[in-house]
Amino acid sequence: MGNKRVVEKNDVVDSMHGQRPGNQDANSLKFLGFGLGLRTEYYDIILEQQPKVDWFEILTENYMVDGGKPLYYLDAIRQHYPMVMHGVSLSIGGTDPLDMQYLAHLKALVQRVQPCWISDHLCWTGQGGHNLHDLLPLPYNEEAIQHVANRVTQVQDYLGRQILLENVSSYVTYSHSDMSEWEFYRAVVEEADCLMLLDINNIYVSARNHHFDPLDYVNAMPKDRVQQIHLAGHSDHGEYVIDTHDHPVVDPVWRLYEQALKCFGPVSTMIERDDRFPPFEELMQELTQARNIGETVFGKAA
Amino acid sequence: MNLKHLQHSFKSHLFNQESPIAEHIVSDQLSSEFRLGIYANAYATRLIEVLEGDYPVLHSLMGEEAFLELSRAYIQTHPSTYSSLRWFGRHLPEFLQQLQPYKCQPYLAELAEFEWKLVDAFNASDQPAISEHDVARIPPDKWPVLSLEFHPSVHGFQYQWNVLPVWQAHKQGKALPPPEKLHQHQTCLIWRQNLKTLFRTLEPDETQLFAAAQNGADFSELCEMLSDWIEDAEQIPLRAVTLLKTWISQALVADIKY
Ligand SMILES: [Fe+2]
Repeated sequence: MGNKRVVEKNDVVDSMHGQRPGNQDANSLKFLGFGLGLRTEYYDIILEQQPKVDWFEILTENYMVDGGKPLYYLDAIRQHYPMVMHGVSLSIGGTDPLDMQYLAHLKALVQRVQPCWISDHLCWTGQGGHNLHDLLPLPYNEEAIQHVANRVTQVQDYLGRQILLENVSSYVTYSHSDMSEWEFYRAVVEEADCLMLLDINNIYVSARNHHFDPLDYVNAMPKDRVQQIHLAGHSDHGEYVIDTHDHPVVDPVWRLYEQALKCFGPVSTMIERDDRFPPFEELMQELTQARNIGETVFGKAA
Repeated sequence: MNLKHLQHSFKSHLFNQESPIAEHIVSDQLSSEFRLGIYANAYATRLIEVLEGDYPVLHSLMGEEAFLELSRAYIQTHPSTYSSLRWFGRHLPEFLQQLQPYKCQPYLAELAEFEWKLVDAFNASDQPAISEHDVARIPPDKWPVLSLEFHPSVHGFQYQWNVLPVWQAHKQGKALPPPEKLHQHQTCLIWRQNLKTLFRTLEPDETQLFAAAQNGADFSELCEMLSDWIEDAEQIPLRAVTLLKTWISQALVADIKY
C-alpha cells in the first residue's frame, strides 16, 4: 500500500513545527485536534454559530441518500470544517462477499466530502444478504485475522487509501477465540497494514464485560497506527455495561484517555453522542475537558 | 465451526432465538443466553425505532402495544437487506394491506402509505426544478406537444379515509380524530420544495390532469380533458395554463419536453 497512503507516516512538517511537542518520534500521523460527531440535531447551531470545533466526523451511511436535507447540510458544514468519514456497513469481518455497490457509493461520497480519512469497525454487520445493523463481534483467532486482513487489503486497494478500523464494544466471548481482543486487533491492523480508530469507551466497556484490565489493552496498541480516538458515554448496569452513547463520558474513561495520550502522543480526538442529545454547549464542555487533558499531558501547544 | 457458520448461527439467534450459537459462547457470572440476549434486544429495538421514526402517526394512532406487535411481525417477515436503514420500512403499507388483523382496518395501510411517501419525498434526489423563465422560452407553436417530467420528490396519493386530519392533529399535538371514511376518493400531492416536505389536496380536474401529465400526456391532451370539467371552451386554455404555472411555482416540474 505504501505509495497509496494519503497520510504519510513520516509527516515532516508536523514534527518540525512542533505540533506534537515532545513526541516527534511517538506518533507522526496527522493531528487534527479535537472534534465532534456531526448529528442532525446540531446542524443549524453549527451553521449559525460556527463553534470552535477543529473537525467533524460524519456517519457515512446518513449521506448515502439521493438528496434533500442531509446532503445540503453536509456540503454547507464542510465549507467551514475539515471532516472525517465513519461507516457502519462495511462488514469487514463478514463472510458475504464485499458489497461492491456499497463501496462504489462510499468512493463517490469520499469524492464529495474529501475527508482527511475514513473509518469503519472491526466487526461484521450482516450475513446471507441480511443487514443486521449492529456491530457484531468476531472470534479472536488466526482464521479471522487472515479473513479480515484480506478484505481490508481489497478495500484499501479499491479506495486507493488506507482505512481506519475501530474496536467495538462486545458482550460475548466465543469459545473459538484463542487470544485476547487487543492481540487480535493488533494482528489484524498489522497484517492488513491499516490504521486504527481507538475507542477508549469501547475498551472500558469490553473490559468491564469481560473482566480484563483496560490498561493492558491500551499498552498493547501499536502507537504509530493510532490515527483517531473516540470518547463516548455508556449505560452502566452494574454487572455489565452497554455502549449506548447516550450519556456523558465517565471519569474512568477520561483517566484511561489520559493514559492513552501518554502512551501514543497527541491523537485526533472526538466525542460521540448518539442519543439523549444534550444542549450543544454540554458537548463543547466535554470537548474542552478532552483538550485540557491533552494540555496536561503535552503542555499548551497540543 | 468456521466463521461463516458462526455468523449464520448468530444471525439465527437475532432473528428468532433458535440457534445453537449459545454453545459457542462463554458463560461466567452472566450466562451465554443473557449475553446473547443483549444483542437480540438491541437488534429488535433498533429496527422498531426505525419504524417509529418513519411512521410516527401510525405509531400514535395504533398505540404503543399494537405498534410494537406490528413491528415485531414486520421484522420477522422483512429483515433488512440494505446498508441504509432508509429502506427498511418500505414494505409496511403492503404488509398492513395483506395481513390480518390489519387488513380489516384499511385506514392503517392508507396512513402508512402516506407517511412512506413523505419519507420518499424527503429523501428524493436533488434535481433542479424549472422556472417560469424556462416556460417563457417555449416557442408558441410547440405548446400543443409539450409534456412534463415531474420532480423525483413528487408523489400523488389517493385516499378514502381522513388521513390528512389525523396527520395534522398529530403534528399539532392534538388528540387524533377517529378513523372516518370519506364520501369519495381524494388525491393529494406530496413533494419537497426548498428542503421542506409539503403536501396539498387537489381539485378533481387537477387530479385528472396531474395523473395524465405524469403518464406523458401532452398539453393539447390535457386541454382536451379539461372539456369534461369546463363548458366554456375559451376558459379551458386559461385553466390549463393556471395549473401549469402553479406546478412550476411549486417546484413540481423538473423538465419540459417539446
Ligand atoms: Fe466509537
